[in-house]
Amino acid sequence: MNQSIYQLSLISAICLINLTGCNSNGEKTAETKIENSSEKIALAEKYPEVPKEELITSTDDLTVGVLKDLQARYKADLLALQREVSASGATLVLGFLTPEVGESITQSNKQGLAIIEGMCKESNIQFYDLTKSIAIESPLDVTQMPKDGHWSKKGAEIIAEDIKTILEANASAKCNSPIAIGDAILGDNIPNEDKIADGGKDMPYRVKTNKQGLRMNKDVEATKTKQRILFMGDSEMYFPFLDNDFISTELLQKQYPNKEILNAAMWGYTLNDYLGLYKEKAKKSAADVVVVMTNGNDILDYYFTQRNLMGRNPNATKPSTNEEKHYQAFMQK
Amino acid sequence: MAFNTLNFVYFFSIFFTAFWALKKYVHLQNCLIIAASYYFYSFANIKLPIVLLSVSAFTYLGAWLISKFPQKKIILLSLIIVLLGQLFYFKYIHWVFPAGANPYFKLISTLGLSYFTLAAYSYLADMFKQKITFEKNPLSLFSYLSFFPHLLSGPIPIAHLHLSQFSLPKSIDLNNIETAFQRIAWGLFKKVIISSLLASEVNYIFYNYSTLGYLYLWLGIILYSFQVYMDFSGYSDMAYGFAKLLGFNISPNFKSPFISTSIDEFWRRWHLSLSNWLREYVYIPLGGRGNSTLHYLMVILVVFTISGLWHGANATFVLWGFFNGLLFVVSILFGLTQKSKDKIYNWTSILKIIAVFVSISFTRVLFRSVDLPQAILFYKNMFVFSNHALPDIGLKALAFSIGVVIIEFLQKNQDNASDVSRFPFIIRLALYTLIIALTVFLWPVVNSTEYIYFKF
Repeated sequence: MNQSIYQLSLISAICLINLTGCNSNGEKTAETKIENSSEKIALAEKYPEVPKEELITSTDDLTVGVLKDLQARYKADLLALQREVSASGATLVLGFLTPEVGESITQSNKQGLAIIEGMCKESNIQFYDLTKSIAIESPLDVTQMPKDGHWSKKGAEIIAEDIKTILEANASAKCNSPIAIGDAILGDNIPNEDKIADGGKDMPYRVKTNKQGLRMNKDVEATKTKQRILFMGDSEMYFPFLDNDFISTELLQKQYPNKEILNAAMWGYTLNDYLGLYKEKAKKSAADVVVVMTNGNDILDYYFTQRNLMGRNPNATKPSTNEEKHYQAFMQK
Repeated sequence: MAFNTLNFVYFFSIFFTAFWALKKYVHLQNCLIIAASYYFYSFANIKLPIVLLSVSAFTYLGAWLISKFPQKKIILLSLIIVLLGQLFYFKYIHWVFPAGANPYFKLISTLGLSYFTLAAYSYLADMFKQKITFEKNPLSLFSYLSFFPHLLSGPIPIAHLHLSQFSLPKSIDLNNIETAFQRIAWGLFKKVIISSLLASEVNYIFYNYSTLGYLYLWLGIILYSFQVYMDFSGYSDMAYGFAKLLGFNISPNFKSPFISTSIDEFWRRWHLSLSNWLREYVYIPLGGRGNSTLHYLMVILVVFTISGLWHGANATFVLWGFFNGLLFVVSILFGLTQKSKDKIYNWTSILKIIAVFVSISFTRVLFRSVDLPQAILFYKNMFVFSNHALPDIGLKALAFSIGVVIIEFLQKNQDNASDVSRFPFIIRLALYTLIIALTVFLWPVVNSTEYIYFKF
């Protein structure tokens, strides 16, 4: 019996050690994302379809009208972001980045490049086309094709190399924001996370976030002593399926120890989300340069169904009259 | 339909009630087992019950032929050729003829196929050896072959040990219910909690093996070894528990394999139902130990290679089986096999346990890799000592797994690590509360319903 009791205590101790280990685990931390409103959820369920290339390729008046609306919304947000960034004394830079170039060119990116570049020129915003080096490479090398179209390690290395042009052109940029950021949350990721994700594609990769909710290996220093570059973008800048060590921003950080490279990118975002993110959180980073990675899809992402599906704004995006008509005419199944 | 799903809970609850309502009618109980098992099986793929039905009917007819005609050996051989032929056709033909094979009746999944094929083989071979007689009632045979607790992933039944249960009245008492509960709770904990914890780390290491340092890769094989065990033994324990709730005793599949101090001991504790099947129907027919050491060693290599082949239509599995055979052979040649049945553990046992565990885990690279080139590269990278980065993942999963092994060590004299029946009721109640609380508290966001051994 004594032997049994001894074994029992050991068994219980092992179970309790395991239980305690789990309590301290970061997996159960609360998400920082804001809960979507019930109206937004209801609209996303009512209008589940998301148009893509057909918005560009269709020539009917209704679709052309919708596309113009989307471009106008994109432009309005771009100008609003420019105002916000300028008010912080920082420099706004737009980078055009997509793997849908070269052999994989899509109409949305072909036309989107010209449109966005035109908007930037018109508004005096620095614009960099970062697709030139990518375009000459095989998609099989720079992306994780055939499994997934996001960047491969090689793709991330090429992008990092191209981004250097932006960093060097803005080497002396400095903002007038306060230099102490305190405990501010700067991004939409769950802070202090270290997890293995696989995006449902059986391609496991390691995501680490810092205490400010950015996809970075290190925390942003509480007091700014180095030039700070903030990157915003969608999955093209978030680099799913790559460990932190291989994403462009971490590669750049290693090469530029005298700068702080911040990555606030998030899957599925578009310019409207970058504007919201910047105003609510990222502005507190006191970044000297704000680099927004965008592409032609970002314009199409303004369609109301995509906004309700992926947008960070918790409120519903109601369809405009044109969108409602377009959805009923072409998207309703 | 996996055991760790709500669907199964509903299914089993209804089945359990109906089954015991028919307690006095064994044949009706068998009808119910067949109907429920085919329904259960159809969740995997609607075509699979057709194959099961065909194999069952074929086996019944074949057994009748063996019982009726004097040319038993020829009949048995013909039956085995057809039986293994269908397994080859569905499971292996893509491997042998990669292009354009299997055009007439394609199976998307071969889930359960190799388990009930071996069960059918066992019945025919046992009849031939006159260990059992012809089972006239097809309901008993059909329910033996389709019995859902062991249908998808074993334990593989041995006809002369298990078939008779399907003709006998069943009973259940509180002790059986408690034993069943112990097994189910322990199995669920191993599968849903520990195996899930291990899975993401293992997937990560095996997917990124080309960029990770050698310490990660060594950790990867250790975690994977634990994952296979937690996953498979978890399933087997649950299967045992559910069968017990229906008044059946099925073979245990594991007996704390990771406390083995020698390779031969490991295989006496690992996947017992397959080992027993291989011993009965391959090892002994090939002559077993025979008259010479060379014969004995060759038979071992053949048995292990066949075991590898049973696991899958891929060179990696065949090599995995062969290398495990080689490990066994080496341990015989170097006198490292277990000398005495009365085992005494001492401090050197820990070193032996680790050595056996690492050796077995080392071969798991072949078991886990998608193909041979990946396995070779993985092995190669395990010995590239340039990146000394210390792993900072999988430590919690490792701690849990070692915790299970320690519990199994402490429980080594019991039938199963979950058997706590020697303790007073109040302590048992506390332990049951603890395991339920742990399972609920640690229940993963994604409850994986995939089992590693389903694909075999």
